[in-house]
Amino acid sequence: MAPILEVRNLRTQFSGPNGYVTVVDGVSLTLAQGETLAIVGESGSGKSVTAMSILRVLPEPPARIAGGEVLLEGRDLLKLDEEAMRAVRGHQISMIFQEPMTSLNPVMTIGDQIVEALCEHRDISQDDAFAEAVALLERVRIPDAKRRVLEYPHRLSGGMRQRVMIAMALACRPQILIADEPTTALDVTVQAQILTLLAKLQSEFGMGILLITHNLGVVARVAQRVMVMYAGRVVEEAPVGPLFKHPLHPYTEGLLGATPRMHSDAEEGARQRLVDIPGTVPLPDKLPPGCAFAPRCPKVFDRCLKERPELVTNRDGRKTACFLTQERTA
Amino acid sequence: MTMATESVGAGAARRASRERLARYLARRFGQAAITLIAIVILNFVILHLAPGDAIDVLAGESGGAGPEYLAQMRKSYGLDQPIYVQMVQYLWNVAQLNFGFSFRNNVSVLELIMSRLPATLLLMIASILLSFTAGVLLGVFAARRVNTFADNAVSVLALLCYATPLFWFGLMAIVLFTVKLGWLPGNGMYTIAANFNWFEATIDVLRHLALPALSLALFHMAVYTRLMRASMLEIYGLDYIRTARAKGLSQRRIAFRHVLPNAILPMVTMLGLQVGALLGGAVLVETVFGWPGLGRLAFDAILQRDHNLLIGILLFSSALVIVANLITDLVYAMLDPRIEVA
Repeated sequence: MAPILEVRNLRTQFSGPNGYVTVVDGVSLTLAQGETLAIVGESGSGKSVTAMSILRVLPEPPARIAGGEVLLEGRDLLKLDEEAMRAVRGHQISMIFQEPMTSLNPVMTIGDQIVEALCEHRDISQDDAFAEAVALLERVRIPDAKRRVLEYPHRLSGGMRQRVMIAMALACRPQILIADEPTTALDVTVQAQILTLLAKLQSEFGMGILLITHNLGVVARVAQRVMVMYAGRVVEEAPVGPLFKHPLHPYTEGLLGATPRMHSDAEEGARQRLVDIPGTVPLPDKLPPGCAFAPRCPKVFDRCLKERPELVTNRDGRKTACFLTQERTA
Repeated sequence: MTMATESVGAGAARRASRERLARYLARRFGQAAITLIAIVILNFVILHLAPGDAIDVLAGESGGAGPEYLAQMRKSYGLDQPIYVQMVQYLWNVAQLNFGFSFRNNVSVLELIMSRLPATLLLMIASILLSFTAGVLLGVFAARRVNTFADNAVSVLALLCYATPLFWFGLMAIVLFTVKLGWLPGNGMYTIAANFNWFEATIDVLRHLALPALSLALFHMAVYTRLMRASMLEIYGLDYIRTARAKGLSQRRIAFRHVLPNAILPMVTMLGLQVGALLGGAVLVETVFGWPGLGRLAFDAILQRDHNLLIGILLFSSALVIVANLITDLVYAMLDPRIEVA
């Protein structure tokens, strides 16, 4: 299937005390209609910045997009002026955020906030937009939508607010929904409800979802493909099944090892211990000269410290940025 | 709370919220009354701690009098009674809206205050409107152009307004606009002995109002400007502004629909505080511009040791501030849906 969104070589920088620091470095991705691509990684790996660069909602300055292309149906969004970009935001590409508690305007009713999104992009009367807002709230399974539409955000729970955010994001039937940690701030039971809802809406609306998360359980549930990011770069990309069964990059391996599982393999007998990855993600202005993961990597060897591995496609079609796997398969 | 409103109908919920509002108002008025009584007692005590009374001043001005005459005067005005008797008597009178008699002016205090109150209210309301509007506009203007030349210019202007003494600005305004340019009158509230119809009379008062209102407004305009700018910038960094941007809204709509209504909330708090400060400023402005208001009346009352009048003015001013604060709270509750009157 031809991708609707294609990002090539995206580079995003932030200005710091010693000049610009590259936070997203050469990220490329594709997303097809009806597909879910998950971007995973620790805090500070550049996942959210990647997402916000696509929609160009980072505050500029201090941020700037230094290079690359973001092609939406072949049109480069990075070349659009602000006016044309506004027509894309919330219309062709929508976004929902991590904090449903603070992502809605506290002094506007939720109805008004949805109506606003509708009226911005569609030629629609206030009354029709209001009726549409009620319909949208019903679609995201908010009970008693007719009354809820008149309420202010503080009257709703976190899960309900995230539903409102989703209703607002889907108001104009976007082709792409970027979900930046949509369930992180929610209770576990509510998380499951929201994920189920997103999957259901995706099958109804057919939009592609770019899901940003650090929760591998969420990835396994909803995504078809996974991109693992580390220190601003993509280190591995693969379909969900193979990635979980057989991670190639030592960092992916580490992430999976650090995830608790209910059913550990029986042959191992004793209870499996959670393994953590020692150390933390290096700051973007203090990256080591070679592979960024080298200082924390259990399988590091001398080439890793001197040279930076590029993301290359292996024989089986998976992509990794690691000398080990590249040597093994090449 | 959510559960409760779900189980009962919307009509019942509205009725319940009306009852809550009535209870809230009753409680706030009760608190206000207690505050007011405390203020009266405090003022009465403080004033009587100062040496000398009205009789001393009267006697001094009329060139001296014998001790028997003074004693007789005190007795006839009830000033020979113990202080607590005078106080209880005064409180009782206040409760009946009887603020006593200004012996110096030979009219009742209430009448005197009522004759001066409209002028002061006009001056205060004009300067509040002026400072608030100008402050909000300048603050929004600066915040939307943060760290540009325009932003810095607004900051410098605000600092100047903040630092300029009120009376000095007033005098300079008179020198420039009245003496040199002759554009605006610099003294009084209306042109004396002019035969105006109501429209001309209104214009005449507004022309007299311009300079004193501006002088009184300047300081708070600076405060509002800085506060509004800071408040706007803070809101700009919040999550729901990012949501608004992700919706594809224009910068203009984001500023006026999303940032401004949230940024204006702390300003309302400041508005309540301003009313108290304005009364203090009114004394100076009314003196400089010869504005026939309460401020100047208070000033004269102090000079003449007119206790009854002074306490009456203090009482009225306190009531004004208390009412202003009550209104502020109600306005705040109206603007911010998160505050539910409990």
